[in-house]
Amino acid sequence: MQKKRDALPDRGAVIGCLAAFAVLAMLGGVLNPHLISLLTIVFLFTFIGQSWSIMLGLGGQLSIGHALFVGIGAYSVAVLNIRYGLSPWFGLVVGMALAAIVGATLAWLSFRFEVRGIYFALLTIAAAEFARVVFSGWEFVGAMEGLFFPAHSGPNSFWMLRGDARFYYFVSLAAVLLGVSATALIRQSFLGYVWRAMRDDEDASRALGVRTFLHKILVVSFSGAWAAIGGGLLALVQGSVFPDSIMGMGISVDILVGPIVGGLGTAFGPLIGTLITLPLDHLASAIGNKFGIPGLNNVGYGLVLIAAVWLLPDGIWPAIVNSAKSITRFSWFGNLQMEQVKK
Amino acid sequence: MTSLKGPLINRRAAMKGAVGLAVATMAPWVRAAAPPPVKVGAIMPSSGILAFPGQACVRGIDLGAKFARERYGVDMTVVHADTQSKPENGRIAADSLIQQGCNVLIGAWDSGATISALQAAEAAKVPMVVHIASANQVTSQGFTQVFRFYPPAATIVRQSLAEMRALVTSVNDPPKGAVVLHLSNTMGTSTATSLDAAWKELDLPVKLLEYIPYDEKARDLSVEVAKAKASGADALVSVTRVNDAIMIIRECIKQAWNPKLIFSPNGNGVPDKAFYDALGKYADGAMSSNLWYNPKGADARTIVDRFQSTYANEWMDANSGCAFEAVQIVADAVVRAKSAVSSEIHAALKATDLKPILMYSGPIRFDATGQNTGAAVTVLQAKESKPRVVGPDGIAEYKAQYPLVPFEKR
Repeated sequence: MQKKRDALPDRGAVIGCLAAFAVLAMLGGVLNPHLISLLTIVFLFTFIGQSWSIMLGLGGQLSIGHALFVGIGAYSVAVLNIRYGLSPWFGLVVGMALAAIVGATLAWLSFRFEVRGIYFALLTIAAAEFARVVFSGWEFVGAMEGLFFPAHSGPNSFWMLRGDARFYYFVSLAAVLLGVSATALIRQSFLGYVWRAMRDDEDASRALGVRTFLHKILVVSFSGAWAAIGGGLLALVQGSVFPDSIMGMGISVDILVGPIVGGLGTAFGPLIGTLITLPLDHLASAIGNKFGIPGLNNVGYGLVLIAAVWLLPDGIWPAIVNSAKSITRFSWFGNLQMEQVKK
Repeated sequence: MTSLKGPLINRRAAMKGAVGLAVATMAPWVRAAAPPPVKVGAIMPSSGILAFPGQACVRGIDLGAKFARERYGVDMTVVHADTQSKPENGRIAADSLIQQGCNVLIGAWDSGATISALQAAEAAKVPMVVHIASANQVTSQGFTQVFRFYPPAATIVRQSLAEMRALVTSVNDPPKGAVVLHLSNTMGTSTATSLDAAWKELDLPVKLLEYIPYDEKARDLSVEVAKAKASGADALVSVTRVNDAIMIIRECIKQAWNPKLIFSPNGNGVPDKAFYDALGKYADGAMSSNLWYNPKGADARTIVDRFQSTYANEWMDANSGCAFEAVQIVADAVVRAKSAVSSEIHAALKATDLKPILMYSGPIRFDATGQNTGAAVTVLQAKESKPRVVGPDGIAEYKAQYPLVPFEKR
């Protein structure tokens, strides 16, 4: 009975979710260009954060080198579009496929030799750094000089994924909606149960018949492909790709802040977390600049992280859900919250 | 009190009225003569990995704005925005500044953030003066709002090697072979690539023996310097940041390698205070070619002294200097446009023909792509714990010292 209710979220919750996205969509028509640009980056980092959150929050595999997949997606879009004039849609598909293959290979190599936990995390850093160095010296992809998209002019083009700031706002918002839906559906699916079982106790789930080796490869590969889409969109929005900025450690760290603050493995956690941390970062930066204290944002960022981890270790979204549950029945959203990551 | 019987308007009243009318009529004309208030948005990497040059640029912008107020009478307000050294923040910063009413932008130091910011400038039709960013694509991607003061990397390298050629052909016992030690990051690799092409094009009479790249995070360059020494080169051409420039000189001392010439095209080290603080007398003699202020410029001494008195622990370097000059370019355009409207400033920027105020450069003029055609480099040599201009001849403070005094004899 419980399982049936999990699989089919109640109508009220779905309507609430769609209403929230409808509000965000309407805001896209009225907000000023600055907020549009800021929220576009928020949505893109949310989308990439969701991919990372799935891998750790559901699959239990920690990656600190997710920039590898972001970079593969970004370069696939940039190379196919700039060198061959192909639509970025091709780049997104190719990037997804490449990232999935790279993720699967990395996971296979790692899990085949029982490299787990923090050692797997170190391996992801090594892989990302290796890729950064390779791309830095690879002339075909622009090496250290990077690749630049031509300036956009004329009407927005959905086919070429080129347009003004509002166009990218809606594209990235659609991506987040897709991410929230995918996370919610995966959580309620057979795959979600298997991944969570594997996350909570790998040995026990294997003893119960879960093919953990295969599923670990699957979750890394799936997460990598997802992050590659985000990387491709990020490249289009910023107009250029460089190995240091798109594949560097900075991106890997930026990705994980939103989901940690918002709630790992939840459908809305990465969105809530990124919606809070990224604008706060920019606000603190603006205040710092006004008063001649550059880097104030880093201090603010650090304090928010400490506060979030200290006061709300499961994240903000699960705390909201728990509060709401104590007031009213909040079944589906309740189901979206992550059970505590034990590992 | 006016008598009812007397004239309603006497001669004095008529004079007062006439003067008042004249003043009222002239008021718009008088107002038009003073440049209108303008809001300038400065986009810099004030925090993050590029904070050091970013903050130097902020100092240049602030001093430049004060100078422009006094020189041109421009009521200029500067609003700063920080990219945090992340390319994607260029656009957010530009949009934020435009939203705050900035009529013109200056920035953004690194090419990625510059391209990102230019997208917002292009959409809002707000001109952007690029004080520093060396990628060719900044002016070749079809942006109509870009005006770049800084030359592309290839131009800097070509000019630098032309200066080096002039030096080695004018001295006795010139070096016979050179080795290139360079960073393997964006700046280092692109400079090394341009260097190779320019070396052949200019037919330098020094044999290029080897390229030795190294990682920007390297903590020790003993192997690289040993390789350079073993190549038999007597000239060291380096493309460095400050830290590695220091490490290279220290290794040269340790390994008793005394090149006759140490030259860094578009490199850091010689122009930076940290280089002298770390190396003391061993810094002397090293050379680099950079965009730098013209020590013989009419206002240079005053500006540099003022910078020194405002920021006691800092030097006026290329970052501060280019940012300062960018503000003067904007101020000049505002004065000529007699308007703070972005489109009119844009038109004035296109027609810029400005004798540089601080930096060494030809007349600042922008071609159809928005590139300054007058940009030029100077040759600096470390001397008595300061970078001194030794070339081109017209602005040289000292004659270049060649060959270098061996380190053990200092």
